[in-house]
Amino acid sequence: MNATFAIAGATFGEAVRKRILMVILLVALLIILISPAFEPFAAGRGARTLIISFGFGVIQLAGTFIAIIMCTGMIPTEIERRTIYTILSKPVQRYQFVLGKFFGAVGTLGFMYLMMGIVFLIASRMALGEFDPKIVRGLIMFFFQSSLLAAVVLFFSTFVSPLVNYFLSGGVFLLGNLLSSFLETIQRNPEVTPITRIPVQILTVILPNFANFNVQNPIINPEQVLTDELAYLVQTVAYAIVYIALLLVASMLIFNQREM
Amino acid sequence: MKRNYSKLWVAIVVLLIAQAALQLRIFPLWVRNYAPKQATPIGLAPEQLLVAVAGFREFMAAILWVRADGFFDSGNYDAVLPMLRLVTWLDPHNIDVYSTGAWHMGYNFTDESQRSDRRYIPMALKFLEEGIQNNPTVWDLYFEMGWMYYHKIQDPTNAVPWMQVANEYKDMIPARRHMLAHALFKSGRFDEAVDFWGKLFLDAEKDRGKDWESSNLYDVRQKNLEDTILDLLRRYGPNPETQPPVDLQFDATVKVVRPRVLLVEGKLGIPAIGCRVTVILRDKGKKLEYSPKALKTFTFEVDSKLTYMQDSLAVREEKFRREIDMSKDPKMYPFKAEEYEVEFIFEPRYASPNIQDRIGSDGVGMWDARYLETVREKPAPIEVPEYAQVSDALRREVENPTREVEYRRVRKVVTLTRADILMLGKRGE
Repeated sequence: MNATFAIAGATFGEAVRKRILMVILLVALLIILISPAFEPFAAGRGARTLIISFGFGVIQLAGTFIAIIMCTGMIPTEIERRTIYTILSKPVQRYQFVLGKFFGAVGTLGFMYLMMGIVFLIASRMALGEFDPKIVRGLIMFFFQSSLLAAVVLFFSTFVSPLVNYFLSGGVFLLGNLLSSFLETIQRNPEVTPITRIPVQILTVILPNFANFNVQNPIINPEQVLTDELAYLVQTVAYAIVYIALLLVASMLIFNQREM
Repeated sequence: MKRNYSKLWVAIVVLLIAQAALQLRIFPLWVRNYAPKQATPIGLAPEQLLVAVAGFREFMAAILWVRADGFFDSGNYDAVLPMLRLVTWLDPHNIDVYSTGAWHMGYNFTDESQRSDRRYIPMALKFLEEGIQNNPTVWDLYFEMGWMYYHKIQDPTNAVPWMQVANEYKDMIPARRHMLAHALFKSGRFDEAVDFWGKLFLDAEKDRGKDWESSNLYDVRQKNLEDTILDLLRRYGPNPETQPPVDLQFDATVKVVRPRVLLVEGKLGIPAIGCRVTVILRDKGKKLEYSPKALKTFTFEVDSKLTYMQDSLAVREEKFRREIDMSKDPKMYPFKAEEYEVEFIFEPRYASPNIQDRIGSDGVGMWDARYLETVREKPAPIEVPEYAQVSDALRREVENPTREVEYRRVRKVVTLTRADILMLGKRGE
């Protein structure tokens, strides 16, 4: 376990030193910080919607980019630089290496979400004169969404090149965001035949469902009354953990079989 | 090594099943709480249509809504309509857009004389219906629908079911609850109106003295309850003031004074100020259906061939007279049909209280030898969405209404031809 955490610590240290990630974080922080400027633009009306939706949008986009950029090169770079041989020659199992890399990535994401979250809360407090604790809930769900995405990227990085991984992970993220609403739309349409519906249902169940974590709409529109909200949030977090575990086990299986 | 792999495979299968089970549990809740629901005309949900904007969906909606506000302030009302459509596609849970949008359609399209273009009202109702379908757990839009019937259409009978649904929501603004009592009273359901005022009064009594607002609410409800009972006693109790009935000697005439300009005048024999006669000009046989079901799907296009004018004429010294100029708004009054009906109606439900004291709010104290009608009506059934927070009893009641109401009115219809109105063959068009 010590080896896992040592690798996680090194991964975290390496990630926060990466200029590209820091640039994304800084740009996101600056954009969130200037979001109160929308308040006079909205002339009071809809200012809350404008500022909170903008903040969530920036954070989600930044989190997605950070997860993909950070994790695509994690394992291939170690192989390319041949540093992996040094690591694996020590008493470190391959599964510990994969786990360490993932925990390092999650730690980095956690740090970045913390930074963006603090700035977002300060900015929304400045603009709206109130602190909305529900924002934290949205941020936590985005963090789990990005962590799941990081696991997807790490899984692909065990067997594809970084360039392919960018498109593959981006595609899975997009699909994972669309499938639920697509399924919901076709379920409402009586003209859709089972031949069309069933494959979508299967895909929705198999592929990682990123849309589950997009809970920002009721926070932006607080009039909405939600049913079993706590149960939904708990189940969604459990879903993220189970799916991440699934991807990590699959990553270990592939990485173990890989010849180096 | 092989044994380890088989353990990993087992773990993968177990985790795959576990995540699938969780996803199957999450999906129905996601549909209920977070799904956009509103499909675009091409059958796609906003997420599919707006992949490019991903997390900025609500932000884009908010920006467009601010822009729509700008168009509204500058009087560019037509530009607001497509903006409303875009905003509700992007964020179908923004209640403000639905309520303000429906108000905009219902109230702001007018002719040069500030008469509403009532062809937009079914559109407003459809827009509110869409908002309700997308936001079934929020009371506001049920209330807005009720208000549209109560105030704009002046149809309290159909306002009641919507306001009943809104009233089932615990978070409804307390003062807004009063509108159901007013709607019940205006629609002639006096017993229910008194009962409801009584219930509201008892509710307010619990919080009386808690703060200024609660005390004020208590006072308002007490006064309204007392006034309602007194009004009913005065109008329908022993020795009612509504008897003997007033002979209205109602009559109305219409004369084309210039092409597309009508002079309407007439008599209504109530010797008090506060009466208004409604005049409607429309294509013969084409009544506007004030219902969300009047349109199959939502559209911003009004029927450009339909002419529909409605105005309200004040009665002074038992007479009314007005020149109605429809020549300046050819888009609103296209006059494409061959024949037109000009309908004059006086009904007491929206008359001022002093008039209602004499003739009753249901017209029991009025008489007319030629034009008196008794109207019997039931509210139209309404479709309450699956997730609406209403009791089963109310759901059954509003989906299959049984309570019939009755009121009296006077009504006269005059027929004109297109040639009459355009003065064809004379010095007209």
